[in-house]
Amino acid sequence: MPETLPDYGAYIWPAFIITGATFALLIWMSLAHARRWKRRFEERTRK
Amino acid sequence: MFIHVPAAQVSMFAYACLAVASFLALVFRHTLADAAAQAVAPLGAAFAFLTLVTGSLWGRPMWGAWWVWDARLTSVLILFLLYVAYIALRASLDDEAKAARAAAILALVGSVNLPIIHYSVEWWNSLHQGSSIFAEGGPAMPPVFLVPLLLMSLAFLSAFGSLWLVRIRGEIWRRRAEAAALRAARG
Repeated sequence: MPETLPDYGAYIWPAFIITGATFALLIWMSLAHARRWKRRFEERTRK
Repeated sequence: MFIHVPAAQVSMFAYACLAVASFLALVFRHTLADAAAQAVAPLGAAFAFLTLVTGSLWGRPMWGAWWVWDARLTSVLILFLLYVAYIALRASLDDEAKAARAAAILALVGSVNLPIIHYSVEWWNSLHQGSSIFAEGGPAMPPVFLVPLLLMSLAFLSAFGSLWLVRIRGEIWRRRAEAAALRAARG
């Protein structure tokens, strides 16, 4: 093993952060989309 | 590697799902298949985006460049653009049935890109490494890397499956809500 490894962290951490943010956005958007249209359907069928 | 490879696998699997669902919607006029196709496209686009970004972040220290017009990279970029085109096409036409048909044809034509992505590293000279998991003679990596990679692939696939189901459910609610609004408008 070399004594000093190149600083790969500068590339790996942004990858983790971008992946986490993308997953958070996907989960939030998918749940919000489903909840919003369920609520609208219930509103429209209640009237 | 533990993010890039699973994201790439899921982005291609999602496109295969999109193509199958589009075929079922186009040929058998299956409403649920159409909803499934509409629901999977943003997920596939997100995973293709992750593939490109994480690949670029790894390419910089390995190859010395953020991007090269290599066959593998370019074909994955085309995959991402196909997802974007599918979403844009569905959103661009007022007639939802026509939009669904046009987008389904686009998805089916675009499925030609899947074998191109897979075999691009064999058909052309490429900076990108060849197949590691499905290499001839077994996986070309030791178990210490292979096992976590397979676990991550399974986790990404599970996340994709769960999100796809949530999005299909949302799409069904949207269609029901719009049908209810139409019924109410007709009196």
